[in-house]
Amino acid sequence: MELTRRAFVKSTAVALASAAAAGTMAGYSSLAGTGADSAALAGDTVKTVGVCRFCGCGCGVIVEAKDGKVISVTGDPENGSSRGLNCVKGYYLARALYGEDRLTKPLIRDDASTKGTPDGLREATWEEALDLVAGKLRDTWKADKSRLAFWGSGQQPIVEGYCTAKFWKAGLLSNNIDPNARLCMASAVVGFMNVFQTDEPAGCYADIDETDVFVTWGANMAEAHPMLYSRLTARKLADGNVRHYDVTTMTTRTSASADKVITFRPGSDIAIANAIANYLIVNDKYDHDFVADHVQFKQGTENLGNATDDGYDKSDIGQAVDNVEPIDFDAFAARLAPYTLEYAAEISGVPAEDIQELAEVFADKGRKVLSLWTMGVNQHNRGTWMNHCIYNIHLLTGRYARPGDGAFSLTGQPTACGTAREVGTFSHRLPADLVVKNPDHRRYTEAIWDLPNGYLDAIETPGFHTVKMFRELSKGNIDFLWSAHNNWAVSMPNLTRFLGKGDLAGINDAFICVAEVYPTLSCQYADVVLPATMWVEREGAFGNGERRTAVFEKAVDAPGEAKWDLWMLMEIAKRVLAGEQIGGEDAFDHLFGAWYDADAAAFKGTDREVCASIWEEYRTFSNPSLNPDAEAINAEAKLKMEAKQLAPYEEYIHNHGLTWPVREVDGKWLPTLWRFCDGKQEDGFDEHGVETYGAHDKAGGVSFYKSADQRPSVVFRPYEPPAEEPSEEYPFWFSTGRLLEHWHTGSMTRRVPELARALPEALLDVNPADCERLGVTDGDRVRLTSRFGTCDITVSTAGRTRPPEGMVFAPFFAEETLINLVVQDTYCPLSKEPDFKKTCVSIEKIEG
Amino acid sequence: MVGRAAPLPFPLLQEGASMEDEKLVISSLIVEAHPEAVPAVTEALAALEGVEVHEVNGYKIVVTIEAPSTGASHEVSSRMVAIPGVLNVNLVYVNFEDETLG
Repeated sequence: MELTRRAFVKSTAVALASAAAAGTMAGYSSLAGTGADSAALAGDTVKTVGVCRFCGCGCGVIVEAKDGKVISVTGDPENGSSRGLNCVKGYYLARALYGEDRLTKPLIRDDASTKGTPDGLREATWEEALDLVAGKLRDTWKADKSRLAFWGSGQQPIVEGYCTAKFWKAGLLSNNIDPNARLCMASAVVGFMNVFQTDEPAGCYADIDETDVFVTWGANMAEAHPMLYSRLTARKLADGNVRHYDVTTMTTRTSASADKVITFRPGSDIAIANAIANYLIVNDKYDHDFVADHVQFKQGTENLGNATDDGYDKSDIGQAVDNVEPIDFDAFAARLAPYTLEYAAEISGVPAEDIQELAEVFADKGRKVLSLWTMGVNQHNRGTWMNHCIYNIHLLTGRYARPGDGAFSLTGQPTACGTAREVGTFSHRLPADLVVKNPDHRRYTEAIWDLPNGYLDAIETPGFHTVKMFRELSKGNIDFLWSAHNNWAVSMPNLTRFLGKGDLAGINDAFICVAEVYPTLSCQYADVVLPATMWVEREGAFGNGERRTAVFEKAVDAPGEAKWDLWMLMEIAKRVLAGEQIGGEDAFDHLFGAWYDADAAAFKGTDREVCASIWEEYRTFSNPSLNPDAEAINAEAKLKMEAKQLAPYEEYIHNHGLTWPVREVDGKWLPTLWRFCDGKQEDGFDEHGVETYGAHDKAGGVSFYKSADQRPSVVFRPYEPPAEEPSEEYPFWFSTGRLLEHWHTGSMTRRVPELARALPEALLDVNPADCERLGVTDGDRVRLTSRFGTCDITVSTAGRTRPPEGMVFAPFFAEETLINLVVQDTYCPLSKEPDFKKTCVSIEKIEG
Repeated sequence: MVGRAAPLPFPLLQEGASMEDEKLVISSLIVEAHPEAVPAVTEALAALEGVEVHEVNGYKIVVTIEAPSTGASHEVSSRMVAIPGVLNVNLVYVNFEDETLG
């Protein structure tokens, strides 16, 4: 770098960080553009607004490009979620675009027997690849549409997910579409729906700045949500009275800020939560007014057994898992009564006095308490139940939907909320929380998609959820699979089964299309690989964990022949739907003609115009007044669709993201930070919602107007043991997860050549006492075996996590280790989310 | 106790390269530390190759990293995470024009 340029860049760097540290970070452009000759030094660069590509925090970034390449990224101070900070994964934001092995041409596999190897793919034209994919999809669709599937992602931008769902549900009349969010958020989703009848957190990230006590449940925020953990530690440092309880199965970097680490036996968190609820009731330390005003009590089907076998969903118990019945408070208290502190201590291994101390934290109404949780709660054989149990404690103590006083489920992917959940790319969903099995929801969707009345009745039965989809694939019951924005050959549990180690026929006979940016392991099983644009190579939007929708603008062109996923979808949909009609009109034009010109094979307008056009249609779901038919159905069926109101597209550009519901007040679109909490809309409260649907002057100043009878459900959920527990044959618990350095399967963060040398491989964190017993030491190779499969891995006692004796941990990013060969595919019977945290394994030293 | 970091597995400065043609990634970060650990953390940060400490604002330490690649920069930032007393390492700005423009 030339010296004067270097001095300029460095002074910019220092000025920005200094301003961010002082909390006075001004607009980046003003800092970068001061001084007489700064324009010349800054060069001919273009700055665009973006959102980080990686986790669910949704941090804003300003992207600077020159000569068609991204040359810098800066934390965006105007993004309300991150306020100018990023974590160190930000180093890879642009570098991930420029990996040497970036896919730039369509690839076709002519010989299916080469699947599972790095070989066998040849370059092809787009025409050949699209014709092949569309032909296979159409043939499958015409022959038996139960044998086709799409596996999407919480990384698929909002309008792309919307169009995929529309094509699959309305175009193909298929529900065999599910996202990888099933692997991380599904238990939170079912928890939200069961308790509140709306899939959303009431709180927001600003709760972190206002609370007095943090309780992290099964959450390693320091590794998985670094920006939010930074806010947690900032809050603790700002006020010495703030406390943090880390409720976990092992010590992690998140434990560093904890005043007390409560280490429980895997799976026993429900016993602890129930003991807290019981303690609050028995000692009359619950919030009587809040309970009287806001809560209804229920119990549900119990003794669920485990969803390990293929037949579980269709078994008698499998079909009864969602059933609940109302009970009164006394009956609820009676169900909890067995959960004494001593009983919970016996199950969990946590001393009774520690559970009591945590219960007293919730009892103390003089202080605000914020529960935060992630995959330890969700990836759980009773994940939905544990979500319930956390809400039970918060609802009993009047700690929900109030600033700093709440329960907040953290999300893992950049748009798990915005796309998978809000758009609804699940096998049972339609857009905007609507579900396929509800006739009113189908009518409403038909109105917005301009479909004949009853058209969507064909999809009233949900399709394959994720685990089911891959089980069916491995059994040879899927003929066509399209995957995008994910890397299932690394991230799915029980890969021993799904990668065809037992029976190759399923994966070899199915036609698999993988849209990708790099040659991931999933590409080795693809018949066609479609090279995709990545991140800011096109415009898109993400919806993060606090209901914030944010647009990332296009900054640079994609390399080579890589294409926007949305273009691939349109071109394949056009071919598959050729000759089909909807309501007497060409089916493709009817569904997608507003933004795509089929004859020209091109979008009608710029990326911005296309995204805005799709957004405006999608936004109609939450703004029924834009469509008279939808408005009538909404009123008649009392759907309250406008309660999740989204703003016009341009508002998101101007504001660098907005949290929904976004309300139009005097011509301005105002976001909502604290949902269901009464107060001024200008200050971020849900004034409009409470005024329109709810009631003022209720206990706690909140009104749960989306819930049935305006009362969230406190549902008794008993402790039931993990699917398997350590035995003589498999004596260790094995938990998997994420570490700071690498995001998900590393398909983006592991592209930098020097990483191979500089950054750690996936290590197995083992307790030193267990190492001694096993006769292994740091750096030794061991074989990990479960009843599902085997992998080899290197032992470490110096890793980021410190598991207790009898438990081991490894991250899942490394395809060369492929720990998911070992992990069980048992899932929560309600959410169908797999339990990645409690596989039982044996550990054997590999000699030599 | 603040330990010196182990040598990096690759050189931060390319031997024989002059300042003019040297490839450089410049980034700025805010390192957050336990208040009582700030002096020791500051010292440990300054001892890392390519790192300059610019200011201390309470528990927040403003630093820059100059390294030949984003990977090398990230490696240095990972070493910061491992310094005792460090709570968070936040990236504010990274310029990698030498890397992406070639």
